[in-house]
Amino acid sequence: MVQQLSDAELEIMKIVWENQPEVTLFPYIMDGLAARGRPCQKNTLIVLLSRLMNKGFLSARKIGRRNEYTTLVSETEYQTAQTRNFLDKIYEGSAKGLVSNLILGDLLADEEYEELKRLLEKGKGQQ
Amino acid sequence: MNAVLKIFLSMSFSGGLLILALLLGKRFLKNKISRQWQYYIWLVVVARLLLPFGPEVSLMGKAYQAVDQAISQTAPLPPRQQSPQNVPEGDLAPAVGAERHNETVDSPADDGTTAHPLQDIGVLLINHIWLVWLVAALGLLIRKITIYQGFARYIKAGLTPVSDIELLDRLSIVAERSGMKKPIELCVNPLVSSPLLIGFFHPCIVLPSSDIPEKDFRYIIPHELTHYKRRDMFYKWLVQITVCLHWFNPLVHLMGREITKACEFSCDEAVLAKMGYDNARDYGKTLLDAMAAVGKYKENLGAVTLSENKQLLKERLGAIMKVKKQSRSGKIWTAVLTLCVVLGAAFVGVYTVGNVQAASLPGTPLDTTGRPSLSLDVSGAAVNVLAAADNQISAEYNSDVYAVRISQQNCDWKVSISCEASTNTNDETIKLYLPSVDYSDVKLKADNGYLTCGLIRSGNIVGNFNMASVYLILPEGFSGSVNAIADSGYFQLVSQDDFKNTTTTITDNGDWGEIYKPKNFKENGNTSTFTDGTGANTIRVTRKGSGVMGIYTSQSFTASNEFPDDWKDLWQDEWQGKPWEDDWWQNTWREDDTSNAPAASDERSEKTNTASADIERYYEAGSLPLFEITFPRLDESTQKKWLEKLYADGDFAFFSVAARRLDANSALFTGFAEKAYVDGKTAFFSILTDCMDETRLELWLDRALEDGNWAFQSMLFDKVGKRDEFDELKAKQEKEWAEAQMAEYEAVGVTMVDEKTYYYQGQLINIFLDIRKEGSFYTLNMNPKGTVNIKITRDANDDITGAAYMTEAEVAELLGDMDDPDDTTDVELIPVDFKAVAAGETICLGEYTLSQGDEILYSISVKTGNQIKVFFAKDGQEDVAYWSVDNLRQPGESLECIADFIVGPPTTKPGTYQLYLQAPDGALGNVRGSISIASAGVS
Repeated sequence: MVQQLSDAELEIMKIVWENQPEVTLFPYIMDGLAARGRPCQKNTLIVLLSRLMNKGFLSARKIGRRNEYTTLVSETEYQTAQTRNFLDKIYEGSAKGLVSNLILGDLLADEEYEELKRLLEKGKGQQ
Repeated sequence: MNAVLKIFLSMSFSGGLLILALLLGKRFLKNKISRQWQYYIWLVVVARLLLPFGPEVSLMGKAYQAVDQAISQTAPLPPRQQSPQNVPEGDLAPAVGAERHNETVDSPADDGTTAHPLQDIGVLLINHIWLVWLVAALGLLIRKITIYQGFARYIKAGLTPVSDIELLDRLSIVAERSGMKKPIELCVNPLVSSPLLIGFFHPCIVLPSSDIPEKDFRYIIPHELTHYKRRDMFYKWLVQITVCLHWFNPLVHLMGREITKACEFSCDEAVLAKMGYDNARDYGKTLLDAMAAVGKYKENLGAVTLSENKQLLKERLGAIMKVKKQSRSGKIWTAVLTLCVVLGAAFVGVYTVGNVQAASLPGTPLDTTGRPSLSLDVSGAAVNVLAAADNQISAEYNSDVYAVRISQQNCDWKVSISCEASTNTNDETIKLYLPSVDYSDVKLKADNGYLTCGLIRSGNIVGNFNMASVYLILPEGFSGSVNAIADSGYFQLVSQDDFKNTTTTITDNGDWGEIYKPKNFKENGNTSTFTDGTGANTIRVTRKGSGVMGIYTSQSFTASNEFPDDWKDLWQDEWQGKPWEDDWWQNTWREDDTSNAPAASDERSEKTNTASADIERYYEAGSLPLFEITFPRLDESTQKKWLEKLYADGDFAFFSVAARRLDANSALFTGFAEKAYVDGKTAFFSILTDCMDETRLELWLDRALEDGNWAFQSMLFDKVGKRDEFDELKAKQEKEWAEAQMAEYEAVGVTMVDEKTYYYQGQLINIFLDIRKEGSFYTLNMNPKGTVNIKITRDANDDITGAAYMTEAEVAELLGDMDDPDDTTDVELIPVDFKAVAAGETICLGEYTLSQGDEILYSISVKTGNQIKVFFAKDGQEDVAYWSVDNLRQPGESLECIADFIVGPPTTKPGTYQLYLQAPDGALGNVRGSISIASAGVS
């Protein structure tokens, strides 16, 4: 079960995911947060990173005095989990409801729609 | 374990004194001295309460020594230790005396300790009070821990981490400023009433809500961080543990409360010192705001909260307003006070067990580190301590009578010896082998027994002897101490280097008896002292009750194992010659035994009367040595009366000590020897033969030979050292018996051709059975080729009356006794029937061919003797035994040898073997039963 992330934690995870497959170092995250316009204190980041480790999103390897962070949960996994969560919460598990809402609410661009259609047919053909 | 409790009590007491001193000091100097100091100075007290170290000479050491002495003097004595003089004198005396007498008659086996159950329970409780203490302490500690756990769970249940980066950043900035290295978690839990810090290793500040004014945040966070940085959690728990362990001390509880207060005060002080004293007002307001929130859970245990309760808050507010920089005089005060408290803690000290003696006396105490301690407890047994060849404790003893428990763990050596038999008819001495090393603490305890020990060359010996005969020799160059109390009995102490470098104190608290001591001992009241050289080794002996004590130098003590001559002189001349001050015993005795009281006018008979009363008492108390020494003082008729009584009771131990004191030429001696001989009581006779000379023994032997008295012949041959002659005679005798039996069988029509072949009226016998009334076999022979089953009938006197065919039922019954009825035709039965097997003798029971799968069954019982061994051997090599059973008599059981084996691999090979029966340890009497070999046959 993939746990929920707070906004600040998600921000950090995004930085680490983007940096993959390289290992991520502490200053890199500090800089990344600052670049995204959300600078924070060193101690705050340490606390947030340790929370992420507790939640099972990150693992740290101590090399000398620095920590190397690697992800344990991929971005897709997180997204899938979050989507399922969202589906359960809002559409009572019905993907159809979500998609129809996307279409009816004009939330999909035409190209996106066509692409999804192709994806759907391709997936069916594979089955 | 009580020793641990004693130490703890002393720590509690000295800690209590310190607490009082500090509380008193606080009243006057509250505002002059830094709060930090007021907080941390308690650590000294906590250390005093938890650490059992102290200087050699300390207040507690002295106090406890005094207490110990008082206890040992007022300890309730078991009833039989009460001396006759404790009983009111005058007209009442005889009545009281009679009552006491009845009491002992009612329970002769009673050793006096079970007389007062209430007192016993009291003693038991006192002995196990440490357990009460420990259980309570553990219970309290566990309760505190579970409460804390419950609280932590309660807090953690509703915990949400603060994700507001801004708030986290603020915390980070404050943390960095206060030099925190570890990251601090920040969480919100609406259930807490005020901010608090939780977690020992992963600190977490818990706020009641994330919506918290920036100003409050500025004060709350530093406060909590200060708690964490100073490791107040650990301090708090250390105090909690101390309180639990000293649960019985109200002062320690008071200290716990004081420390909680001081903790907050000093924390406030530290925070304000950092932030500047101008902030005091704001800080106080934050405290008040925090207080406004209503507490929802008892949060004051374990966790460090911002505010504890209203009363404390009031004090804190007051303190905060008064906080100011410490003045110069304050600093001096602080230094002086610290010194005082630390020195005070050291000086009140702690009671150090075992060293009290050494600490309170001049000279250097023995360095006992790394040496083993020894505890030897002897009860109702005679023990001679000898040097062991190696580093192991071992004992040689008769396991029928004595139980010896040895535990030799690291440096804690314990030996406990007791008599298991209800009446000890065995006066053999137990040989106890102890390693000849330097000891630390040596506890010797003897109750109703003999103890001879000359092995301990160094160590702190504590002796407790009661109704015992103890003979303690301090070897040359002994270093250490002796502290012995001898209560009613004999105690002899010999210093082989004439009390060199010792301070010796003899105290006489006894009522009836005497102390013999070297002439150069200085006497003063009831104590005698002697000091030589450095006086570093302390010897303290105390006589109590009614006993005799002898303290000897090497010259005054000459005989090796006997009471010394001057001792005997003392006994016979001085002691007996003294006019008897208290006629209580005589009165008792007269009332009880008027028939035997000679005219009291005669001084000699008066002495005898005393002796007669004494001996009765010694007998009741089961004190062999006192009985022995008093016995010769009785007149002949009383001696005879006693010997008769002991003889009738079968009391070997007392009979033997009494017989030892008889003149071998006296009529009594001859009379009892005659009596034992006629009654066939070999055991009593044997006791008497110990005192006979060669010629007399020869005379008795001749008589026994003449009478054909087998048992006495056997014993007497042994006594005169002619075992071989006896064996020869025995072989001859056995042959004679066999011949006689053959003749008897012949008379009823049974002819024996050889051991396996019997004929009855010309027919070969299959089963030949001759059985005793009691069920054991005279003869049981089976010959598969035989055709008839014959049994011998015997009358009530076991005399043969005839021979008869066995009925089928009888055959079936007989065969039913055997393991496998199907195999009967292939069973070879070897009857075993020996009246006596001499010590060390090995008897060959024939040669047998054993094949694979054969079943061997031993079933032998032995009436007297301690050890039997049955085994097979090959080619006459007795030292290599097969299917060997070596049985010892177990206490309370009969000696038996019952076992079965199957011939074959992996351990044994088929072949031809000789069967042996052996008496490895002492002679055996009435060895009966059978050994059967069931052939596996062809299947």
